[in-house]
Amino acid sequence: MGKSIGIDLGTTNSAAAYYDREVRVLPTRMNEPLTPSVVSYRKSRRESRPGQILVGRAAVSNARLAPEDTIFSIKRLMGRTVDEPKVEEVQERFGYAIVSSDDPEDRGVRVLLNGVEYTPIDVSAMILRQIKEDAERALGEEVTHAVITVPAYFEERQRAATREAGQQAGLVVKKIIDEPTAAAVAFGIDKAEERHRVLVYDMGGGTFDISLIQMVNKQFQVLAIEGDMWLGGDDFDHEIVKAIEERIKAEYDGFDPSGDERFLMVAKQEAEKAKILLSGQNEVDLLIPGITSAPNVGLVDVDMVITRQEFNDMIQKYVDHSMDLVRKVLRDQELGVGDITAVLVVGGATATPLVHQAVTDMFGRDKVKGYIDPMQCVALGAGLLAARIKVIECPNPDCEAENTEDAMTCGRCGHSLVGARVRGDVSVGAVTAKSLGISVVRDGAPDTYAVIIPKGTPYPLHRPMERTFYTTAENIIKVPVYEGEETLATKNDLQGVIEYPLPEDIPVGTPVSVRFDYDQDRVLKVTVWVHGRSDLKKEQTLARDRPRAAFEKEDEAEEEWREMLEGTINASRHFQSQYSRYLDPGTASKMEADIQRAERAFAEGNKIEGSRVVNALHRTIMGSGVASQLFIAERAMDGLGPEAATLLREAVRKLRTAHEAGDGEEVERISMALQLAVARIFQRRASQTDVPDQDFGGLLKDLGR
Amino acid sequence: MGEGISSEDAPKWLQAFDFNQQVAVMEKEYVREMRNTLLSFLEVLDSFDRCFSAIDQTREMSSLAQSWLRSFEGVRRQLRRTLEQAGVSFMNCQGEPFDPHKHEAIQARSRPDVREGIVIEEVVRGCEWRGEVLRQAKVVVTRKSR
Repeated sequence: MGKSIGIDLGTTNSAAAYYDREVRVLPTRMNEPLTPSVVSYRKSRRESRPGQILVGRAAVSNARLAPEDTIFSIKRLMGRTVDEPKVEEVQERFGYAIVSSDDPEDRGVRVLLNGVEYTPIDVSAMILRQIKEDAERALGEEVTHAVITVPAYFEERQRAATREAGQQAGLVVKKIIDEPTAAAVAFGIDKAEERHRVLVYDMGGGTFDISLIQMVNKQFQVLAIEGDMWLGGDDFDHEIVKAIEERIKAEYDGFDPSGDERFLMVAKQEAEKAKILLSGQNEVDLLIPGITSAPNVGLVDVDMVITRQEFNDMIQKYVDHSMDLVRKVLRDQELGVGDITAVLVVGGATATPLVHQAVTDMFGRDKVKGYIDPMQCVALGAGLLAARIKVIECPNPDCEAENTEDAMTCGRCGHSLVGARVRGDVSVGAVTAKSLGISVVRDGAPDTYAVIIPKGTPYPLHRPMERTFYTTAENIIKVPVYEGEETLATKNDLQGVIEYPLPEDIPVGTPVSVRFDYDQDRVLKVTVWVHGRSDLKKEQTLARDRPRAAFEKEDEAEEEWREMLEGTINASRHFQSQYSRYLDPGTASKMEADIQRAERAFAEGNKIEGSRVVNALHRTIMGSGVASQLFIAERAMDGLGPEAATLLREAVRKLRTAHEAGDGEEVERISMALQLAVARIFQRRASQTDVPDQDFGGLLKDLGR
Repeated sequence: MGEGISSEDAPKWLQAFDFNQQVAVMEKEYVREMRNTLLSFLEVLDSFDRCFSAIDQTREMSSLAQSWLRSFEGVRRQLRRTLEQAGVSFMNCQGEPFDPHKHEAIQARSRPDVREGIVIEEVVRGCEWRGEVLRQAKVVVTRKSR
């Protein structure tokens, strides 16, 4: 299957996020974090040719040329019928035509784009399709699945409409999630064990939503919603524009610039910038030379200081209004401020300190959470959920089987899963705090960590998670289980080792599956089996709080220490014989002394002395200028293709020559290049798939996903 | 070896080091910061452009004012050249067909002598950097003559 993303399908702007180790918002094709939720029709310059439908930034660019063919705020029309007052409000504000369907059965609205009727679902699908394409461009891979957010007040038909838009855009919609729930997930509220009653204060550019949600046993339930469809950060910008106009009137003899469109364009842009600056500083120096020109005066400059206090005074009325609505929600629910356990501030306008302050004044600093970029919060939560939700429920009401997320049709009844939905409350559940996986050989490198249950996976698992690997030894299978996020398996916490002998008829490279099941008590059950051999199956339960087996560990450590010391002595002898002439005499004699110390420590079994001298020798081998460069290059040369080997040999030759000529600068330059080349070689080697079979003590081989 | 990597770790570090990814991360960071820096310098150029375009050529100007104007014109050119040296290429969209990916229409105007959908004025300069649009041009476009 392709990638799975979270989409915040907003009224004004939309955003997509993707989780891979961490969750991030994906940039659009215009390198912007947001896609304007706008669709516009552009006529062809030749009448005979069809025009083009533009989405996002390009649609905004085209809006002035085709106001009647540019659809803004389509979200406000989702699942609505023409006779609703909300539809009328939209009609009053925008230039495009809203009509009713010809079909008498269907009261749903249609919008006109170049005289053609489209449903709000069609238009939303166009936006979603562009988001999908941009996400694919950013990730370099196909995107097939999505979690899409909707406002908590969306009714069933509006949610169904959003889901349908997702399908039309070619996405399997894993889930439709409430925006406040996505925000709660982004803030990690869902991970808390206790009961929560959360108020989400979401003020965007043009809309204001309050949601009161309750989380019990990790189930979210929306208790109440309130809001103002036409209140937001744009109102704040407009206040600053008005202040600029007032200042010009006062300074330029009553000259009123407000009729000049170019003035408004520049003023609005500067106002928005000033607003953002005022979030971080106490005053802003608004300097706009030549913003417009006035008759008899010439150029009109704006040079004014706006303090945060002045700005606060301008926007106080909007903030007061929003807080009145917050109080109304609490009153309606017969709740006091103390009944709210957390307040999340979401939406771009909440970056304004006065807004944050008003919320904090009411609820107290401890409860108000606003540390995640409020513009991206909902998308980030959706992105996290897109990665976590692994199950798609069959939409066939007679079936409702749970399917794995990569299924396109139901495994039980064959019904298409495009459009599949999960009924009931949104359950996010407990999630694993760390990844669980095993140590494998990947691309010839042992000690590679292969994750089986990723961090953040909800548990208990709906079904066990498994991956397939391949044997590397004829006589044994060894599966060390770890918990953690490090790429080197042994740097994580060992949970236990499953190890068993194989009969002789199992060739190297036979597929072996490793299955992890994780229950609500955090007990990990590991099952390992050789494909086609039911007798070669082993199951082991690892209780996660079990103290580690101390004896085993010590034996292993003893062995490791001896191997390490012996390997270091051998490497040092080799280093000495090959590169001593590149060492200064002091280093060379110290090295000889260290090697002798190491040999003594090995013979005497003196661990402390041994590890001390190993460190000293490593420092010499890795940190002795040209000698070390040559040594590392030699190591990199092993198993290199002829072309790369030639290049590397050439670099080594140049380095030797430069060193012999005593050209310090040249040595520096070449050794830098050599270091990069060597790092590249190791990197490439790590990504090669075909490596000769080696003895890895029964670790499984991972061919990557 | 680089800073912060102790010699003991080096062999493991070399194996685990995702060189290409490191380069990609650094590159992205650089591009992001550079874009922002270039965009703020472009705004200074916008101010120059606005001021110069408002000069009324028909009006009498003292020789002192004229010499200042000349010098400031020089400063504007200098700024533009500096941005170009940093890799910014300026669009020259007047007379070009409107392209919503590169241009943002801020006004539609009918001009009987020009066919529909042509940029007749570049109000705010558009530019590209590293083969991508750094900033869209804000333009006036012809509409169908009535």
